[in-house]
Amino acid sequence: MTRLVVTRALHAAAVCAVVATSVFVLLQFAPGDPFATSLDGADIPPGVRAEWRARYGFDRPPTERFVRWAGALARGELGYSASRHQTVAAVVSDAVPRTLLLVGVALVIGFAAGVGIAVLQARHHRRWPDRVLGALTLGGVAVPEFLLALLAMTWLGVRWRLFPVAGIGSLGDTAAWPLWEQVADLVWHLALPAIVLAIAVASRVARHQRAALLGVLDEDFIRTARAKGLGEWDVLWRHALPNAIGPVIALLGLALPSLVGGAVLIERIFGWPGMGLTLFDALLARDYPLVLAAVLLATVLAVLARTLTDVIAELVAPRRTREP
Amino acid sequence: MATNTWRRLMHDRPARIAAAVLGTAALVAFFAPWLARYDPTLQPDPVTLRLLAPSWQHWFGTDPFSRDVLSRVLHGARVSLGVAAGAMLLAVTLGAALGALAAVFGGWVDAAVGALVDVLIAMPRLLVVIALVATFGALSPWWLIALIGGSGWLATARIVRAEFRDHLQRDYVLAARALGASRWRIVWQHLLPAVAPQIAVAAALALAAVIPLEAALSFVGLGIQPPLPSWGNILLDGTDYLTTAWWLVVFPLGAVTLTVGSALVLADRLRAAIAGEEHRR
Repeated sequence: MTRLVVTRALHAAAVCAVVATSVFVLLQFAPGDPFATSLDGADIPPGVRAEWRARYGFDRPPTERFVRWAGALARGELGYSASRHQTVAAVVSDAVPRTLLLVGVALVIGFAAGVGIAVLQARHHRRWPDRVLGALTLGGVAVPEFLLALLAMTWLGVRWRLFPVAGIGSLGDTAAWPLWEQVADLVWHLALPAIVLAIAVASRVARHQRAALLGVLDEDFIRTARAKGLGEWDVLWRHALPNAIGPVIALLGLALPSLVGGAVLIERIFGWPGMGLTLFDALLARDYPLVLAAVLLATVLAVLARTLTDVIAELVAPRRTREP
Repeated sequence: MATNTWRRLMHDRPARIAAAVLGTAALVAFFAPWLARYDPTLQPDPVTLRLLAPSWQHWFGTDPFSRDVLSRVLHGARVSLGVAAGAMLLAVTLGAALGALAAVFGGWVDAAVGALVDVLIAMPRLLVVIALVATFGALSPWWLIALIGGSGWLATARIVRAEFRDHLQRDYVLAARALGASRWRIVWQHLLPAVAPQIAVAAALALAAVIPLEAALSFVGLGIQPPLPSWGNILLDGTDYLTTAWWLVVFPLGAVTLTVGSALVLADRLRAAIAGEEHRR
């Protein structure tokens, strides 16, 4: 077990290092920098721009900048964001918890709902609950997330005014509110983006979990459990599910990067000020240190989560994930 | 044995319906210029013909620029499905080739492909594609195909590698080798046909992943650029009119959902056919 954790951690660190280097190299080919003429008034003399570039180190050769950047990264410094007039670390430390909150809540709700749907489908295999839920989860995968987001926003937000359509908190002096009101306000703003992401997660989890459950239900130990006189729900929850959930957890780990990617669009649509929105703004402002940090952090988060799900899958179902 | 899998699939009703939907979509995409009654980019009268509800003249209504939505969805199928099919073919070919190389050669080739997969799988695909497009400027459809296809081969490579390694240990491969068949003859004549159903599953899943990806990119304005219609940018045009002009969103949304759903059903049924075949063996 310890060996698994250590090898997975080393592996994760190596992957992050390679991704960081390749993103840095790729950005060297990108046109312009934060001081390009196209981004602000054309009346600023070239000399001033050159001075700015020199001050932020943009005039150094790429190899020197890479060494400086990697060295700073090793010390935990991510650089300076010229478009936000803040250190990248400050921008990121605001944004990352918000994305973690959104993706985390969506993951937990989506995973629980997906497993529940799959158990219900397996219980009523080939009867109408299975077919109806099957059609719904197929739809949940086939309808793009950004459209689900728009539909939820239009109906739940604009038409029925149940939820706010954008932002992370109400306007005004919310810091003076009592704590529970602040939390309630956050949850109220979180509801729509989290529900949309959770629907996407639940549909995918349910489809895989249903297939895994039906595969396990054919096996001998299930027949034994039924022969003992166990009820069908007990057979499903206590015997079939623990043996069928491991691969689904591992698969969720593999799907996490695409979930983070989906969160980018959801954040943009709902104006949720997390990493996705930060990345969009940084790209438009040609703020490459921030872009670099955003892509790198998303990768680190995805790798971390995947390592974690690998370990969890191993803990839940040791015999199913061990390679021969 | 793979032949039996295909036969099983052809007798499966959901699979036949899904294949028919995808086939129709492909035909519609191909014949779009002959099927569409209007020029998809023509704006005949942005004042009196704007945002008309569906009617006999305009089956899917008109958009804010007075363009015929049906014609745009038909031409959009050409662009969206063309990009999707191209990217899917590229991804599956690349994945099958790399997966096969890794399995057949093993050793450092296997390790190198494995490391490449590990790195690429960790990078959020949509995020990286958005970052690339936003930094380097809008891309032509050909670049989109290269970018989406070039980042989508991982699943196929994993599947093909695992299947090849499994089949390489079976008796028929040993028999072929004993008869003096070369490595490449075994790969082409025996392994690829045997693994074809699994590659088809990967292809269907790749298609189901690529259509929404193109739509999402065009939707944020980074994919297919107007006035060239794609399902993604037709949806983008409709977002401001969600509550007032439903036809701008419902028809392209239906097109995306139908094609993606069909690809998913096809993948499901193929998997079931493969499992049934393995079960019977």
